[in-house]
Amino acid sequence: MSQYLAYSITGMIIFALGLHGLVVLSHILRKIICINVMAGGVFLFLISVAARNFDEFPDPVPQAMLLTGVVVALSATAFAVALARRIYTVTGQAELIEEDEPS
Amino acid sequence: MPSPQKVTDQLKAPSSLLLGLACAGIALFLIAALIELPDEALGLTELSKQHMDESGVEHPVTAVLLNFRAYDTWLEVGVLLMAVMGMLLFQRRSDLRDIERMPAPDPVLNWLIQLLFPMMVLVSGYLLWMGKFSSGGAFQAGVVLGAGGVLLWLAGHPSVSGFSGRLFRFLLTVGFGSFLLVAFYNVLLSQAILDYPVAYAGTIILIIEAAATISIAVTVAALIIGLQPVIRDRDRTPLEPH
Amino acid sequence: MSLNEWVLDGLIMFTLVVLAVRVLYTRDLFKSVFLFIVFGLIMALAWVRLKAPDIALAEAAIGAGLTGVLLLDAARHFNRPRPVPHPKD
Repeated sequence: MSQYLAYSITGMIIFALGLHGLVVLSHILRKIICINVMAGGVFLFLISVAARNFDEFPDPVPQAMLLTGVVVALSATAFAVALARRIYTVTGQAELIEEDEPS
Repeated sequence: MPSPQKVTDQLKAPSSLLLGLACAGIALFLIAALIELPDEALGLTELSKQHMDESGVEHPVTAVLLNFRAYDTWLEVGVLLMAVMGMLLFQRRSDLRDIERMPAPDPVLNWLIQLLFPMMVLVSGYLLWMGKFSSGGAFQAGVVLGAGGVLLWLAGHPSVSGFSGRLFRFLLTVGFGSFLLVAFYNVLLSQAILDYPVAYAGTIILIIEAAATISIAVTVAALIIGLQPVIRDRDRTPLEPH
Repeated sequence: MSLNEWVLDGLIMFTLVVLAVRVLYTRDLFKSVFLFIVFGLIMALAWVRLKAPDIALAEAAIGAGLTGVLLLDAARHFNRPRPVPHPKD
């Protein structure tokens, strides 16, 4: 087992953890954090794929995708937070629970 | 502390267990797919190496970002622009004037900020310039500069909300616009849409990167600062037409 | 690869997974956000180990700095009682 494979597997475990949190947790801000944790797993996977070539320099294409991805993830998070705050202002609800479900 | 922020998730045990098993299954499936991959794969390393001398820069990541896959980068700058537009729409404002300011800092913090902010501008410029030769580039430079802007706002500095609306919107769009100008010029000459002449590629990339750095910095800072409520109400425009 | 490097990598990976669990299931939202900031920093460390120091720098600035400010501010917002909606809303 190589270093890259180990990091890739860690990334996948983190992704699955984030997915579980996203489904189970109902607070909006927690869902946003979960999506960020999932993104962290994907980033870790991409960067370990880039380092898989055992060259002096890693594969530049996944690295470039990652660099833009990190900034885009931040902007998506900020937009999601803007939406969440709007929901909280309008409805007073911070939890996303289905209406017909007895909560 | 009041407890609206506490987790109130009390899912019933069976469904929670089922979801846990499902997620564990997804993880195992993904790991199984990973182990199938060859342990050593060159990917696109060789291809990008072969074309490095046409790219106008010496660093492979910058070459991929601003030349080989410039189309991607352009659209990603567009995504940033759309995110900030969406945020401003939800806050019902078109600039950062009248934003709620943090309380004025104490002298020590103020001194620290005055020391740190020029350093951050310097580091940002250095990262931008270094992108041509080694690690660095528009995204790193923009993020550092944007973080500097957020720092200024957190320290209660008035400069952040002092931009006029027109200047603010110009700075937001200059990165996307510079890509657009190059694309437009190429379309006029009926070339490929983001194809730079090899001789000028380095200069064009540096100009686009500088513009993108400014846009990314202002976008990132605006996305965080813009979430604050306004001081006065006069800037709030109703959504429905008059 | 030497044993030392394996120990370091193993420690980083273990910390990442443990932090991810703690971020998701800590009961206090503020604690969760702080743990997320730490998660971002350890993630940057992992990227340095994977030969991407420049992207790690960007991640440290974004994951720990900017996302941290954003989420802390939002957590503070949700912790306050509901703001009175504007009449036009």
